[in-house]
Amino acid sequence: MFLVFMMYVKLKFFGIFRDYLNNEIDVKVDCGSNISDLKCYLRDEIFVGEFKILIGVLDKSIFSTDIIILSDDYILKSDDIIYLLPPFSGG
Amino acid sequence: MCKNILISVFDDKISLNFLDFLYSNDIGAIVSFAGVVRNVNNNRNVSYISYNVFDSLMYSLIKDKCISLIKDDVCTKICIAQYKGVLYTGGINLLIGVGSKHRKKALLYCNDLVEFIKKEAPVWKKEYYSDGTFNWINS
Repeated sequence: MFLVFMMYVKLKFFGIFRDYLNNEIDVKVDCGSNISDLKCYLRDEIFVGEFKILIGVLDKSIFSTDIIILSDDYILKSDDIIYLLPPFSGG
Repeated sequence: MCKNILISVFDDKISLNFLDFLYSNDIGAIVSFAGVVRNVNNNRNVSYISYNVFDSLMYSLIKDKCISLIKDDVCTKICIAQYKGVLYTGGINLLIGVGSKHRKKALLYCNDLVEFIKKEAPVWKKEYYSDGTFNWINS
């Protein structure tokens, strides 16, 4: 038997995403998932139906904690708070 | 070093008095930049802009940038004010000031910071037009 352990991370939104989604959602991902996996999950499970129009923005978006930008290979930890940042507009 | 850097996010009017932070006896040049909401963008009449700002990430990224610029130069001071919320045309959305011993460094650093913030600061602009429509810039 092959067991896959799951965990929750909190995903918070900025910019255009807030017009379509709540300010934040809880996401259930496999333990050991990284930012690339999270992006795939969002594309396949969250940005569907009426939210599909956001996929183009998602593909150009980056992820961060509250103080640093995260690379695609950052390994998520249980209860992490991650921010999804659409392309910046400039100050 | 951090006592020479002031970064603030305002949800009310940004005053030019913010630049007072830069004045001291060893500063010989002060260069400032003010970004202002203009009334036309891409041939559309702008009524106002709503600024969505990620405060903590902005502080972190800009502080690192400022430290990388001034390094151990104790005679250079930087202040940056970013507006968040709704701002009508004519309002100041960004104010950057650099004070240094000499003008060349102040001019260089100010320009560097403007370019950095325009590209790297976690700020999102939702532009509202006179015809009632809106657009998220760059999204």
